[in-house]
Amino acid sequence: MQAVKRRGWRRALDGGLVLLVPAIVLETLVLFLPLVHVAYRSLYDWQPGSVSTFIGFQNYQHLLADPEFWQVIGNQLFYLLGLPLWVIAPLVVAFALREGVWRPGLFRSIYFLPAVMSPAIVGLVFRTLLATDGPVNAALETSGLGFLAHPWLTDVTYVKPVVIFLVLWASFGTGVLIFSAAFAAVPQNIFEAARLDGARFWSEFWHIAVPSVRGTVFLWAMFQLVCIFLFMFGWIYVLTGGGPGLSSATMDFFIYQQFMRFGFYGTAAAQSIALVGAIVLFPALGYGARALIETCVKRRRT
Amino acid sequence: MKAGSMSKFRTGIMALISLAFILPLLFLIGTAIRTRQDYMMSPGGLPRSFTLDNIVGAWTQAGLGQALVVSLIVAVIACIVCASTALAGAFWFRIHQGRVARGLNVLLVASYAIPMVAWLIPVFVMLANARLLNNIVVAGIIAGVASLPFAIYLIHTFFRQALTTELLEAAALDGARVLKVFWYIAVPMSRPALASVVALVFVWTFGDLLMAATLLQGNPQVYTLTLAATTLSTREEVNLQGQAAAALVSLIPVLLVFMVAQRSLAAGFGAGSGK
Repeated sequence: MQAVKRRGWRRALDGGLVLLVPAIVLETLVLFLPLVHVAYRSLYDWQPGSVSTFIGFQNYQHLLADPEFWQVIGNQLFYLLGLPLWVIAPLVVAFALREGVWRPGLFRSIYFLPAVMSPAIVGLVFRTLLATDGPVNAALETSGLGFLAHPWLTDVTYVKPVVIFLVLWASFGTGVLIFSAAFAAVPQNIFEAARLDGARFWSEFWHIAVPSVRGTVFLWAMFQLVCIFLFMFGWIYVLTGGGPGLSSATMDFFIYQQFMRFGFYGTAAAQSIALVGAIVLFPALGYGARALIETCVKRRRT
Repeated sequence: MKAGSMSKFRTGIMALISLAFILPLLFLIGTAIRTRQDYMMSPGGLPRSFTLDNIVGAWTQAGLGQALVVSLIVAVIACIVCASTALAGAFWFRIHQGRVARGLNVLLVASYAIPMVAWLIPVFVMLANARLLNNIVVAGIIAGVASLPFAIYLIHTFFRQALTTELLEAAALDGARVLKVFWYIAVPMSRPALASVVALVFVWTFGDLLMAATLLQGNPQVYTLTLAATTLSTREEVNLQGQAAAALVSLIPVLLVFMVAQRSLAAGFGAGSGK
């Protein structure tokens, strides 16, 4: 009976393809076809406005032999070291905000502020703040902590950790928001039961809270993983210009430089395909790791 | 008893963390409204002077007023393009759940992971050939499409909960057809999801640098606020106070959106968690 009814509304409301067509057409024109075109042109010595010659995989061969490319890949891998920080910091704070805090909503709003602000504009502010003769170092000097003053953005050893902390600053509030929603969906009595058993904050956090929202934790980690490959351009362009040298450049910044500044379209196309590969590969590794951990945990239990 | 003492400690820590978000903003405001001499004396200290010259100077010198108008036009076009197509597409995916429809749905949403810098290269080349670079309408449409995958996902998630099977059955029994159901039931009920999409697309487009620096960088007349402010910062003759003033001006619109539409923004980001 139910099935007949269901099929009834499905048939009655069939069609209406006209509603979907604009979305398909726009995404095809702006996203899919250009991606295919980039893949195709990565096999050419691509010279827009003039003759492009087919060169097979030479762009890729150049790429693999290019130390700058590997340096940028190395930067991306270094940034991934920030992943535990980007996940655990908002997770702990969202957990702590659950109770015993005055006006948790206000704090969530404040932490969420960076989500609406342009990375490029905020990068401008931090570039000034962290300049060698800037306010942060000046404040450190005047408060007798001068030994902590560093050339934050112009020194190869400091620039990447600084970027990791700025990514934390930018994504923290969104993470707190998402984890708060996840905690709100967990039945509260399991926390109460744990507290009756005498669980303290950290043991409650690790043994009850984290396992109960592990799906969200994993998704947030994957989201951050993709973001560090996809959405860093504004930050890097303004904050460091990729420098010093290329020591803070991300893939998207590197590719932009190749085609907009140097006019190397073929190389930029090959690099774009490498970037697409990274975006497929790393989340796939993440899913693989999760499957592995889950089977291990199950095996230990049985 | 114990909960009370606990709460002060925790609240204190939360307040300390919030300083990390408030202090940079205060520094920005402080730098924009103080004189150059005052800043040079103690860049880390409190401002001891007040002036609006920096803001006025940035506004006139860098043409921030025009950039603000360009940014608003681009963002509004992006919002209209994105919200309308995503709404219609998401509704279609709600009422069609066959294998083809699902495959299409996954494809249109997963394109979120196509790197912007990758699809921008051919788009830039083609627009250059068609003499459509530095065109704010085209840039607005493209910015709207860039946010389309996320918007389809968000509105579809909303429809799956709000547009129940019972509702669709009732509509079908009344003899309503697809377009009628869309127009008279789906569109009116979708307001909260639409508010989230519009707020997010506005904020993203307004803050974008990559698309603006590719599609609009050829003509200072069509610089967006973000592009104008960052370009300003690379010009030698403009001092720090001018930069801070430009940054401040370009944050005010999104901070207004933040205050008005905070709930919608938060809901949008929440949906992004894939719950």
